[in-house]
Amino acid sequence: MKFESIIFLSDVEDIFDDNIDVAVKLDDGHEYIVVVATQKNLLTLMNNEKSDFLSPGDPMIIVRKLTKEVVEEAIQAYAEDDGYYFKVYAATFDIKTLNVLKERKVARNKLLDDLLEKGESIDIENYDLIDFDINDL
Amino acid sequence: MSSTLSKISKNVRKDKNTKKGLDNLEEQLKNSEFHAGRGAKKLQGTKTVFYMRSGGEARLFFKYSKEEKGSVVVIGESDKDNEKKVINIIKKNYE
Repeated sequence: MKFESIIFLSDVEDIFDDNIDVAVKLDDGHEYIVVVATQKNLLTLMNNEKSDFLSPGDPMIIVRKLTKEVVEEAIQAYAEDDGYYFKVYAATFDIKTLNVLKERKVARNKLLDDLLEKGESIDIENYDLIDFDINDL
Repeated sequence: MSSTLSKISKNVRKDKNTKKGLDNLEEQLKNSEFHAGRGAKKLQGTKTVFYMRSGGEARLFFKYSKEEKGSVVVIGESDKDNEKKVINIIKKNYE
């Protein structure tokens, strides 16, 4: 997968110590907002919070410096393999959706186990796993 | 806040985590804690609008009041899904 456009939503004050929201449109037409930060900025954020760890939050793509070239290169790398990692980093889920996704993964693994036990094909990419009830597993 | 921005604000506040994030940012803005969350940024393409970002979804847009020196006015709230839309509305309506 490739990106169609990348827009910095704010100016970068220090290319080595900053984080910004970036609007990304992938070639499947979907748009995402992802936070891109420099490694140095992680320390700055912890210092700002007067904490020894970064408070919980959405994942950020970490770069050495916040230039258009580096950010584009990073986002293209994250957009490989059907945009898997990019979508993970840009995901915005409520807790119920996260629980459904986890249960869907449990259902998928259970289905694979059952197919393996029966000696059947485990090529399940076309299986419809959306309609499942976790209590039936 | 304009009626469209108010509607978006009301909508995004339906999500519990976003609401919590926005409430925290508002409190931090009142206390001039501009480094809170992922930090405040000047909105690109404007001269007077800034926004604060939580570590999660919440985005709080504000500008300095013309009437009262030093005080700030919240002009918009969004989550990430609505961030670009809110930014475009604000850019059309504020310098």
